[in-house]
Amino acid sequence: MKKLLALIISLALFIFLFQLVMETPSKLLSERVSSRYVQKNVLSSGEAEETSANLVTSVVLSYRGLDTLGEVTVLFAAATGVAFFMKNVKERLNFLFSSFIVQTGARVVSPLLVTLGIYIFIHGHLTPGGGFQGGTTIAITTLLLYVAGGLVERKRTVFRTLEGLSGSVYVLIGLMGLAVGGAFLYNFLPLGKIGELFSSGIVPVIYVLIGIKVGSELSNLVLHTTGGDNS
Amino acid sequence: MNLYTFTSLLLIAIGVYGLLSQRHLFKMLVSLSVLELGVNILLVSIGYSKDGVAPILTPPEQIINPVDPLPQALVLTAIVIGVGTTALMSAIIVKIYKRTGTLDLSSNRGEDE
Repeated sequence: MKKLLALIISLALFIFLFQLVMETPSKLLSERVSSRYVQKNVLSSGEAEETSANLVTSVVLSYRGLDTLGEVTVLFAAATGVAFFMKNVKERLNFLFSSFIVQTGARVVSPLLVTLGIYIFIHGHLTPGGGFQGGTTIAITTLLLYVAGGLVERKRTVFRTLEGLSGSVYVLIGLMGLAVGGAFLYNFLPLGKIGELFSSGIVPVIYVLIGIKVGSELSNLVLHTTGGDNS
Repeated sequence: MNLYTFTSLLLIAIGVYGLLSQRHLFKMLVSLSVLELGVNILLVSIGYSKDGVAPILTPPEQIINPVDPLPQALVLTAIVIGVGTTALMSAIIVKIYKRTGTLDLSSNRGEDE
């Protein structure tokens, strides 16, 4: 009976959403908010508006930088909540019986993975990718090393320090923008030429910081839920 | 209305059905993840344009007919938040299991402290 009711409700919701999407006028979809982001002025001879080649990055960090700060805060709150709830739970996942092949393979692959993660978040304003993706790659490395036999168990303090430091520097850069240009997260560094590594001002700096923060945060999360607790 | 939009609406409906019908906490968590995936695909598919290219400026410094970068930016952050909230929900579920010894919501009314 309850399942039938649930089926009816979800079906009604589906039909409602279907109607809503079908009746959305195509005019609304052709005049997009982001069309001005796409046709931004990128010439460095005049006053360039914003010079990151990856438009998703320019939306995330330039036009909506404050939202990204809030989003990083939400991730921090989630990681803190996991740490709080897992504090007194004794039973953890244990992968301490890994074979020789897994251990050696993890030792070979993990430096390459960390390098790939750093590459992804340094080039976040030029190519697909960025701080979130690169940070996740680094966290995957932590998980791999943990599966290979607890090689990262004592790194937790390092991760915690890195996370706090990068978050603080993010806010600090925003406040510097407030002091220099009169707006929080104002882009006060030289914008440079589009397509170069050192371009678009504070955007690559902030994306590197976000990469470090997300990487250490998710690594800490992995270590909390698995058995990386030596304290 | 393309195939992606239709699939995302279907995923949203499946997620809502799972949330309403299941009483097992981990099944509810999986339903919530499916719902979240559906919403993400819906957002990206709103920004889809036919024969669109990736929104990355290449040397002529202009792109013809890119897909919408704004929903992609939203979904980029939503995915990361999703990872965090899924981990938090899992931790809470583990804690509930430790406290009450069951994962079934219908046998767990909160009075058994």
